[in-house]
Amino acid sequence: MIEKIARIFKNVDDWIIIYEKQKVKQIKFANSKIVINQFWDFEVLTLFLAKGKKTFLSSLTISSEKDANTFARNCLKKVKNVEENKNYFGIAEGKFNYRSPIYDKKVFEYDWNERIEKVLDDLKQKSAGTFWEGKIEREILTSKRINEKDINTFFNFSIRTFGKTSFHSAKYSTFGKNIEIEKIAEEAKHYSNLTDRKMNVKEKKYPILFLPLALSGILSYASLAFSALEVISGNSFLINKIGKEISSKNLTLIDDGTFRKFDDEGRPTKRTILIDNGILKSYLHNTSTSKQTNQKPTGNAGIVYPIPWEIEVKNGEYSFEEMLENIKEGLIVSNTWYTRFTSFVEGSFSSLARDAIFYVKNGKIEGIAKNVRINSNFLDFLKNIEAIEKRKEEVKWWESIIPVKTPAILIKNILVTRP
Amino acid sequence: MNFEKDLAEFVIKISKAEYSEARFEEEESKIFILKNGNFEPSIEEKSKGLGIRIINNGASFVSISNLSKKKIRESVKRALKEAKLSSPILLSEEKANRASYKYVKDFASEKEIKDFLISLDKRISFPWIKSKIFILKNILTKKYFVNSDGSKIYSEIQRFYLEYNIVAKENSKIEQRNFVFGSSGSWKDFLSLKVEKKIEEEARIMKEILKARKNKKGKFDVIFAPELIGIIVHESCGHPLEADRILGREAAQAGESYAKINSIGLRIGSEKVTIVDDPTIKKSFGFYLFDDEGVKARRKFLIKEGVINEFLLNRETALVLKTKSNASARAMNYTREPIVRMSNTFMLPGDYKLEEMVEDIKKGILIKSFTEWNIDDIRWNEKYVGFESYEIENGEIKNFIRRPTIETTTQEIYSKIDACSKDLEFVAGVCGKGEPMQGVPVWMGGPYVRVRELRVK
Repeated sequence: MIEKIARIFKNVDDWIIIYEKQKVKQIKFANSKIVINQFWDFEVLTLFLAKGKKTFLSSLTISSEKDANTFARNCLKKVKNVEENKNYFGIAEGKFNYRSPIYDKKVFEYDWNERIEKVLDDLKQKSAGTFWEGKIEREILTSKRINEKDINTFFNFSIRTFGKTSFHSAKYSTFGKNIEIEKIAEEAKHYSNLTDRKMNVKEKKYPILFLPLALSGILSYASLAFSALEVISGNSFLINKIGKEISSKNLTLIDDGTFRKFDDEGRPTKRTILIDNGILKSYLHNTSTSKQTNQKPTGNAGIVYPIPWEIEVKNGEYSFEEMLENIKEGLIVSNTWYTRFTSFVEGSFSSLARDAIFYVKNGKIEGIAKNVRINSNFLDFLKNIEAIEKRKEEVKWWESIIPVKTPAILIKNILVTRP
Repeated sequence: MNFEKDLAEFVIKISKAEYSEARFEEEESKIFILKNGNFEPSIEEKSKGLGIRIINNGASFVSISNLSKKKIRESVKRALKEAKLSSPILLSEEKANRASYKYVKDFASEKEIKDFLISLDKRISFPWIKSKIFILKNILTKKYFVNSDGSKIYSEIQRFYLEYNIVAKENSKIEQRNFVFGSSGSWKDFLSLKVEKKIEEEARIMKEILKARKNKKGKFDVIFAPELIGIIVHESCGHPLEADRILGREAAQAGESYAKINSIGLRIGSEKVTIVDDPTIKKSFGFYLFDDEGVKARRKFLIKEGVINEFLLNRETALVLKTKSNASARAMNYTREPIVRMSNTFMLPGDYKLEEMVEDIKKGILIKSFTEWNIDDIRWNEKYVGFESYEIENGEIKNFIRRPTIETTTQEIYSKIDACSKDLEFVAGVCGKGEPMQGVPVWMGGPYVRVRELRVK
């Protein structure tokens, strides 16, 4: 089908055709029961056309091949009449080497329903969450003679369980075998029953040990500031900061696109170091933003908007216990939600701690805190990193826009406020 | 649309489940992005498909884009199988409805929309404005709903949605405003919101806000303008009174609620507080006449004179609570299951004039718009940061103040309300809930509202 469409576009300067087949299953559970099984089966066509600086992007869910061809012809008519986009500087071009697709061949062959029911029965406490399993097949054909195919799979288990307090655990992986739902659920149950001693937290600055899930929401929102288009548009807290020290020296932050072969222009994805031992090294680029800024493309197209694929924090040197021992008076925050920026250009934000918030005194968990709001500026947040755990987890839950691979991180001087 | 109506009805015909429903939807979106005076690529999205929900002991939902009969048969078979793997649920009995309605009126030409954006951009070209981003979406949704109870409902709704982001800078100070406007019906209806005047005014006063000093901390009487009261009622009344949250179905996602199933009749605010949710308002962004379970929409009184009066219900939660649905089931589109949602949520006006409410304040703050906000997952502990904000002294509105911050609880706000103005204004939003995420269009609003003795940071 996409070759036929390519013939329709023969007189267009630049074009990209992406054909995607998505099959996704979700098992949703609440009150310790499976409440719904859901399944999605889609074919989506994305077309990008450029005539000079006139650019047109469109997408269609495909109900039939005839529909797709008619749609492509209409797009061809439309590109002639759109406004010029001064920020357009072409699409990926060149001889690229691609990795083989990395995916789980056994996707949809596992019996997750039965396992989940058993896990929920065994937990014997109220639990809710979701299990996701998906396969995405993608083919790209462009006017620059790129023609590649890719297959991705993903598995995601997310469980919130209610013991003495609530605790949320989530794991994400390309491979089903890495999602040990029994172990994840048991871990969540364990931490949900550590203590029920209520502690009063004062409105002041604390060192906070953030668990991976707590960082996933904050880091995934903040990662949009690395998109070069946000920087060029004047809507990022990272404007004019390339080469500058923007975080604690012990932080190395990476965007890892290697779970997929190519971006939406067909350029191979890669691991891009965004922050290298505290120094901002790169934004996330498509072809147009890289040419505008004279920086190297990073394989992060989004044809219009360069996007992060998966944010990764490089492992640190500390064990969890060592980091805990370091806290004289502070908190362990296990999850956060509702991160909102007062200004994305300043980086000022607040986020609510959710689920278990452990109060720590002299390196020991003494009780549970409630109603904790974290207030910071993202750049201060990064500068105040004290210690990073030596092992990391790949997590994603409802609040995270993209998957995040991160260790637990100890950050000092976080202002905690309460109503 | 006849062909597709047949396909939705085909689902009901071949499904042997206790209950089946099918939504055929076709949605066309045109998206125009103007960034700092430059048009980004024109974007068009066309999405067409079927959403099939089946209850066969338990519930399942299958959504497909390929509309061949073979694929539909396969999908119904799959839905029947998947439903058996879920825990049993039942739905309340509701009247079968047959209806057809359109809320489209006139269309806007692309030229009109682009000219509108260019004029917006020019209107706010002040020296202190350093970044201007406008995203305007024109969405036309055609939907045919059919279920095994005999409901058959066709609807066509057009919506317009403008999101904008403005950054002002002077010296080292930065202010940023990111907000939305939205309406349904026609382009003229959208233009009647006069968003260009509002955005120009905001951009103009950003210069003053940049220069404004931070407010004094302490206890103040606070007047919240309709924009603020809109977000307050949406977050701390609408969401917590969604029955699916109260019953725990969203516990791992959007969270639970301070309200419990026996909270009907519980006083949570002063007698001045009456909050409703009403999808039937013409022009509103959250407009619909039948919900996505085929139930006829009506106004719901969520809080009546300070007392929790009614939850937002779909057919599943209505049955659990031994009542009838109040038509609050919405799905973002055919790719999503219908869940309990708000539509247009607002506080009813009172009988004060704004000036009368100000006159009676010795030491206070007027907050007209906001930047950052958030709320915990039981909808109790909430924060609002003022954008356009003024101090009030001895009954007079005085200087701009910068970023007054209210961190409070739902009960504190509602119980300290002692006056509501006669005004009623709305703002738009895309409300997020559900997994996978469902963003549905809503309005939220109310009058100017006076809250006594709030701690301001």
